[in-house]
Amino acid sequence: MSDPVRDGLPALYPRLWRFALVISGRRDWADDLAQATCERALQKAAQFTHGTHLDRWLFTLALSIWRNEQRARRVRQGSGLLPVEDAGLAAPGLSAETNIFMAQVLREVGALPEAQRLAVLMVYVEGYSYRDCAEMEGVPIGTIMSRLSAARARLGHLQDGATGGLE
Amino acid sequence: MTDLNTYTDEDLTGYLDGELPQDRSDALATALAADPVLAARLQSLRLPKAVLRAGFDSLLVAAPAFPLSAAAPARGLRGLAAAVAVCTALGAGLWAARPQPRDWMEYVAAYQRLYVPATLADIAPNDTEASAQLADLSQRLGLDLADVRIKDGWTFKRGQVLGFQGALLVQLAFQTADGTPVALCILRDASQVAQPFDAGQTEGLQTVAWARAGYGFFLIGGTEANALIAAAQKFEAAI
Repeated sequence: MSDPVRDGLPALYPRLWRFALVISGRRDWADDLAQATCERALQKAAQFTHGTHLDRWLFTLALSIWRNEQRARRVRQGSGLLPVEDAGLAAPGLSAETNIFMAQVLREVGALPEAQRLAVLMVYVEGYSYRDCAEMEGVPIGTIMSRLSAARARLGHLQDGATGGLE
Repeated sequence: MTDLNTYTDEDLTGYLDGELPQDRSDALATALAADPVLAARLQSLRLPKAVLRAGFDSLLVAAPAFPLSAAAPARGLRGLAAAVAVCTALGAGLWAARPQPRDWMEYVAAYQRLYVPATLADIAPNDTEASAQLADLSQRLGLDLADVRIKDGWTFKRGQVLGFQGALLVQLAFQTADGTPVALCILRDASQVAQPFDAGQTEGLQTVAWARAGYGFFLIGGTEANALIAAAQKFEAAI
């Protein structure tokens, strides 16, 4: 019998790991959190509603595991610096300047408070609507808009290095 | 009542993201056209989103491999999954220790993986056609390929002229007695120096690589290592 959770997990794993990296801010924590989320997802596979979005379900699960972990261990939030240097960053087909700028953009997004960098990931990278993002995080839509607005204000100086389009 | 002429950074963000209600968005567009200060505020909030997305997408490549053990369907299979993971890790280690460069072979392997028995089933050159093809390829390569057809149980199907980074790459396609597609690829490349037979696996296919001065050879197909190594030795002797 097909199992949408088990079947869907491998393809979504890189995105899940990236999500874990963005909220935890640390590579080793991201590894653990992504794996823990997979294990939890398989245990709770029966609760996944067939035909709904597995990615959103996984992100929600990862977020809940992370929040519980933070409460249980009172871990400090990740330093907020995405470990980009060792992340195999250089993208083929882009100029060296663009790659350097890209690394800077990533670092600066990583330096945002957790809630802001998560909103940036979910809306600007993953492409979710404010509403979807708010549902996954369990906050009002206005909160997502405020976080993105604060993130945009803090990242505005990145325009100076941008050679391409601004949105 | 909200002052319609007052816009917060949240409004401007929602506008940039296409998330404002239509009437609010229209009103803001009108206000922006008339108010350079407001337009400057909007401008200051813009982001290089394409670069942002490219940066985050590069992180996907850095993600670790999916942990096989997490997806093992039952407890009894966990050991197996772990064993597979160890074998894969060992294989990766061996692969990393191989002499470089192998990149043309990786391209060949990816191409060969698309071959199925039906790919070659309907290709049946007669003796004259096969000889003519091989004579043409021999001339291009500067190697005598006339004897490659004589291979126990293997049928010569097709020779193709390909290229890799400006170098001539010839692909000779064979089909074994049970229909398995196998390819012998020869790269004419001045930088090649003699290399002994090196058997391995790529893309789930058996491979044997070797080289002599000026030519790299790569035999790929099927899953039987010993048969492929034996075939490689015969090819090396015949060419």
